Amino acid sequence: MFKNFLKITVRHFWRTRLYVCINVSGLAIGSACLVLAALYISDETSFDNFHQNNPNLYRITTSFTNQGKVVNVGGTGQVQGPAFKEQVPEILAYNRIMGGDIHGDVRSANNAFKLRMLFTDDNFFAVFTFKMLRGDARSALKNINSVVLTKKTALKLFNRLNIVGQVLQMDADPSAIRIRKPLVISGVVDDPPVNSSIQFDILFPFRFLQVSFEDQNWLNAYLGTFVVLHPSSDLRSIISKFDQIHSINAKDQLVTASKSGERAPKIYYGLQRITDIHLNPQEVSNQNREAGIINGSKPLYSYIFFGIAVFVLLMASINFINISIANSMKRAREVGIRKTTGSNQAQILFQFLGEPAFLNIVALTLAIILTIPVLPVFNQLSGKQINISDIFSQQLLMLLFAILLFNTVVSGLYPAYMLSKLSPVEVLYQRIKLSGLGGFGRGLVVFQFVVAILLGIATFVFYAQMRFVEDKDLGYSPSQIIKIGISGVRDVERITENFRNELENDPHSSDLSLVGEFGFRDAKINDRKIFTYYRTVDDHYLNLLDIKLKEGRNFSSQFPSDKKYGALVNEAFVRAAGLTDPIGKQFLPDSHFGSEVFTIVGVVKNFHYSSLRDKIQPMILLASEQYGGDALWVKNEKSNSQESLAHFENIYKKVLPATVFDYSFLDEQNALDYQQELRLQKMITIVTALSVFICCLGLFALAHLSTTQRARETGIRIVLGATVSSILVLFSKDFLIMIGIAILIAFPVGFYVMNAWLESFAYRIEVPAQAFILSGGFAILIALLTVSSQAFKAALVNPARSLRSE
Amino acid sequence: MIKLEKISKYYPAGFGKTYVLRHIDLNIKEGEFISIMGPSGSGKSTLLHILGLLEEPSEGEYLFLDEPVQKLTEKKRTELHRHHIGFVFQAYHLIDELTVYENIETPLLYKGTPSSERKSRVAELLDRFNMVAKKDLFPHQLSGGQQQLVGVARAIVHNPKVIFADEPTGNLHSEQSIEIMELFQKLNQEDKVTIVQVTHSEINAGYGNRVVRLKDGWLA
Repeated sequence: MFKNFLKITVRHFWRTRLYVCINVSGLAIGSACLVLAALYISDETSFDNFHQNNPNLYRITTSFTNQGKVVNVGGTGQVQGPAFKEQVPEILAYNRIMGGDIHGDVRSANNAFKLRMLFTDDNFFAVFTFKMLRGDARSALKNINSVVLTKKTALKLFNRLNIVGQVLQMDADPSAIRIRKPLVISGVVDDPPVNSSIQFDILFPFRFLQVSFEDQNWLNAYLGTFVVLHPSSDLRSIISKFDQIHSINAKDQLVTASKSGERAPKIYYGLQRITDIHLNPQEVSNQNREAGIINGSKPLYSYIFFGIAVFVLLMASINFINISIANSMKRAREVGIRKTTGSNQAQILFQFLGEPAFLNIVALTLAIILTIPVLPVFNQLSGKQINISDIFSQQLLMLLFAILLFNTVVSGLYPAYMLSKLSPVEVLYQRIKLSGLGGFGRGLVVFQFVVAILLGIATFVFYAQMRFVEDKDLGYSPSQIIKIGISGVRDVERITENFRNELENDPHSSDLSLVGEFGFRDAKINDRKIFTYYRTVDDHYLNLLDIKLKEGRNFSSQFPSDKKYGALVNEAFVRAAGLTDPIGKQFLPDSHFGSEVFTIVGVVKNFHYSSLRDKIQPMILLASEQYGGDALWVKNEKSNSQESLAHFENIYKKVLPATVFDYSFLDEQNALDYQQELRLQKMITIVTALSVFICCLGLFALAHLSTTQRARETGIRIVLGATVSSILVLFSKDFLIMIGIAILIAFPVGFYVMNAWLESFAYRIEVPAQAFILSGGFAILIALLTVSSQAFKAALVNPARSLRSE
Repeated sequence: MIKLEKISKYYPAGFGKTYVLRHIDLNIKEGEFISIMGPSGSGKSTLLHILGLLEEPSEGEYLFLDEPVQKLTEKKRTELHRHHIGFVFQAYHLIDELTVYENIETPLLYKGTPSSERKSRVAELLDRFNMVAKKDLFPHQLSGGQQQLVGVARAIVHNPKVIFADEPTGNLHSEQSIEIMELFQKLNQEDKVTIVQVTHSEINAGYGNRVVRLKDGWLA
């Protein structure tokens, strides 16, 4: 019986090979998308699953409530870990980590590199699972000057792994300067897996950090504190203990804070499994990723990928369903015969589900083969490092099987059920007409086109908004600005001076400025508290970036007080402070900049110092000669930036020997703000192309079917005097009506969705009408071309032939 | 073997009903060869479909092998098709994708006959119908008469008690018709298969031993 089915399936496929090709290619593309989405999701959900302390390994989170605003932060200060461990018996161990986005210049005898640093308590290897390759895991971080390198770093610095006992220098690190001892390598650890949220090149003891930065504050959250809990712990009772301990210990600090006029936030603690961190990183802030955790993501991207893949697959399934329905006359007769020779409905259902199952197996195999060359491109698009071997993991094979089953049922069930239900008398005596699509099939075509048109609209709107972002006048000119990082404790004023001297009369550069980023902090003016961005600059900055002064003056060496107490503010600051005549007004800055008042000497026009997603916030510019900076912003004058970079590197090495030249282009860095959007844009463009392609395949098959099935009718019409154009209309009309309906549905939905997406930008375009005109027009054009090519062929057939064959 | 009592078939039409068959009483004994005759639209085919369990009567009672057919489950009906009933159609209705051999074999597959038995049974029929050389051909490679031979072979391969034939020679020329009708006669006389055929031809009816005449749905 099974052999009989198989035979008939294979022969049927061979006879209808055009449609089989269309079905298989569509299903293969759809399945490949789903396989990629599955790989992406399985990678996303695999983060940090390798720690042996799972599932008892948690991170302590802090939730700040201030004036009704709740901010959740995936971190704590330095004091919580030890205090909680001491008073909560369920905590078996705690470990603090700080790092992630902290980099420092590390130098061996011959080499210097900028390394990603991670400071951690000495039980790091007991709490987290990273494999020690050399040295003793338990004692590796016991000494204040001992460090552990990753394999990659060890090979980079020494070209070998046997380096325990070797020494390293950090010339500009504040702690290293204070302990006045070289760093001694105590171990080499395997590189952290790609799916680890904790990434580092070099490990330092936490005590090393505390040499220069010890903090007893209970109201802060900037580093990661992890705890290993007893397996039978009740999380809720532990958390309430945390809150109690906090309220006792933080009492004095809260009183002090309220005395100085600050409104202290309410603080509640929480626990988060380490495996949940990747998809809910609760980063301290966009500017400060130093709580040890990097590579944070959002589940949204998983949903988007998965949703897109399902849609593409669905479109291919719709092709299968429609081709089956349109082709069912032929098969219906077979069903009639089988029923009269003793088949029951179940056997027929089984047979006609077998066909899509067979097709899907072929398609899925093709999909896997297709995935292999596509994976590198996908990795680039998604920012992942997925290996081909990951496809063959047990989890994914199960998923592939599920895809197969799902595909088969979605694409095969309806046609199979329709066929199995047929009454033999009706089909054998041709009492029912089975050619063409019914309402259901038409509905599916409409659905396909709705999706294709929506994707077209999305592609266009994405593209238009990204263009808008690129072309928008930012209020300054980021092009040709190279940022050269200076990390660590250094005499930046002298470095800047030396650099400036070196570049004097140099054709490569016209100007430079020392700039420092200090993030959002408070400022107080006329008893009004303003949350404002702090950046330090020097008197070259405005000129360098072409920022316009609105009122007052730039920093100037003619006014020595500028250095210490002068400030430039932007228009947003003036508005937020409610100033009418800002020049000469005074404000109290954040305590980092001392406790004396500053005077506003100038107001700059608003410029977009952060992404266009945000409205321009208040900003204060202070003097970097006094308050330091972390980068030299150099204007490159040569068109060949590689040549200039080499030139600047030479100067840098001369000014700062034994450090690493670390640079970035300001415009490229700005583009990073939109990286996710750009990725999404590329994805959606590709998916749109695929969907349109699959839609076209389906349309082509339907048109082909309807022209062959109606060949006799066409012949009769031509004999009766029909023109070619009337035949074209005959076949195209139906499809045009379906596309018309699809457009009516897609346009309002598209407008609503894209408008909602654009809302996430503070500076945005209106949903452009062209998006609708172009995607709707394109859909009609493509459908017309596909259908009329077939209709044209039908119209040109000699009627004598088509009539004879009946 | 077959007993019809007051069988009627009608379809709803507007506010009333259109009758196709009215109050048919009919008895068919095992081993009979019956021809149903009548003008177009007299209800011949519908009667045959009701007899063959392909359609259900609107009224009346039908006993097949002493069992009331109306009360049978779908499963039981399929069983009857598998074991006791064979069909021959005017348009042959062979499965295009299967060879002669495979077409004949199909009912045995549904019946669940073991492989070796299937082979010998199909081989026997091919031999008997002189079609051994054509066993690997597909239906479209055969003439109409040959296709109908395959159709008949398929109808009897599972040793049914009764064959229902709907104008089996309707698409054939006279020579082929004679061949098929002689074959039916032989099956009836030698293999004791009950045959019910619908036909327009008095000559074909002459092969059987009883004629049932229909006119406007009534037994004439």
